[in-house]
Amino acid sequence: MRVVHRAVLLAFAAPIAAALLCTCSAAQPPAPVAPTAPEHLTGTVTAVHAQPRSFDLVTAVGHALRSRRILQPAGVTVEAHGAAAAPAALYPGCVVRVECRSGPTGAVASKIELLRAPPARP
Amino acid sequence: MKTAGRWLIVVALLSALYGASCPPPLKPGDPLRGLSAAELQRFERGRAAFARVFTPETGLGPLFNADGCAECHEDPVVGGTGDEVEVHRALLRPDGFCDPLADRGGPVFQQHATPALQAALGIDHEPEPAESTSRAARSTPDVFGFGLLDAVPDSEILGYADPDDRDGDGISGRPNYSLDGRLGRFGRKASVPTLKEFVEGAYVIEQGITNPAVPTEESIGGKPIPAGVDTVPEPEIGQEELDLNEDFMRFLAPPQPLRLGGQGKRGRAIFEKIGCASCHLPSLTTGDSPVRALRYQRVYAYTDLLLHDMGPERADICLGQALPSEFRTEPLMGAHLMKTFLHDGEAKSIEEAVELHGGEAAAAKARFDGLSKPERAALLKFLNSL
Repeated sequence: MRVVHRAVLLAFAAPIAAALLCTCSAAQPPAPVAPTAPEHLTGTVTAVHAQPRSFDLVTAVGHALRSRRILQPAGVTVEAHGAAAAPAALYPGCVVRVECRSGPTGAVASKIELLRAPPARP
Repeated sequence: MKTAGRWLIVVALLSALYGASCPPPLKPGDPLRGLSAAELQRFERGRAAFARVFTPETGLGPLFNADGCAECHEDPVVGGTGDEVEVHRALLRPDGFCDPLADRGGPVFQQHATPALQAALGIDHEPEPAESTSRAARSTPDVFGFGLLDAVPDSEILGYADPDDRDGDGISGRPNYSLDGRLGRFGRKASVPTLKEFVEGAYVIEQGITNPAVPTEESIGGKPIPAGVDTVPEPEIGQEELDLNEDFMRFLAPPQPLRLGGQGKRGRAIFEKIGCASCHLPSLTTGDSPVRALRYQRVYAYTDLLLHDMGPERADICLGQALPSEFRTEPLMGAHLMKTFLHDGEAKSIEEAVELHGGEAAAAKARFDGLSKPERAALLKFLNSL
């Protein structure tokens, strides 16, 4: 008799619980995507690419070097001495400080500062 | 007779007093004098970290040159030289830009692979990129006195630079800079700014040991590590082990030069007279430091930590702003302990090393060649005492 009671209760309770769960999850706003903290990298540009506008940056800890491709969105200009520099200001050998965030297609720059252009070869 | 006896006693007492006040000479591998008890303790613990041997199970590889720092830096004691020679490569582009080939595993190409990597890729060392323009051999230097070199202020090094040879002495002395633009001083091309970074990077490039400062493994010639080859989680050592290793190197005393007799002293004067000292600057002075034993000390390193042109015969790779023929002046401190000389270990004696100098050193070398037999012997006596 007890077993029958439990089965009946379960039969009524399960759909109600399921409905409640559905309502709750539907009512919840989508979880906000936590913005990734910006990364700050300082290194030497080894290559500049036109499409999509990007450059390869090599950073070093001692002789351990790491190469990263940094996307440069339209609107993000290269700054030199506090002023916007021409796009051609960035070329292999330039030392730059970059603020960037990881995106689905790689690191995306939000700020690019030219620290030093390569000296003329002796 | 009585008076003579008294004098003897006085002389004996004075000798004993002098002996007691004079500390015993430093031996290779000893710590700097004047370290605190806590610093000495870190030095000893750091020596153990430096001597630690890694296995694939504790993080070694997948690519590596050695299974521990002391596998190479071992002669005559831990921290000394070694007979291992490693391979560096770079690409000097037609526009003059020096590409360190970071995206193809450069500039250091490891000579060993763990069994797991060998099984996965069938290689026993890192593949070297065909597009590199040059290949360099690098011998193992000792690391004695590196803490003192680290404590020399940038301003002092830059003060000796004369990139355009304005004083007209034929010696230019150019600073090199790291990839992020800071003055370099460590490494044969002076591309590493600090001892700390030198240690952090060396763990990864020499042993494949990731650490908090470099938490990612080296690539395999630019390609990712095959799945299942490196199963130890990163970082493979913690900050404390990293710091201890650095403290061992920082607190290692420079080797004590051998005692000079009359011949050696004449050799020292000849060293200056023929122009060796223009690059092999006898001493540098450290700046302020939280470590008393490193603060405002004179270090007889016989280097200016600047780049000099050694001539086309010795040229190998570019690195940073260093041209293929430019090398940092090799410190001569500890020369009496070395078995090979020059950045590539090519010279088997100091005399041979001098003969292999070219470029800016050509004039000094010509003067060396013109020395009389006794003068040459005196100079070599001095050099072999350092």
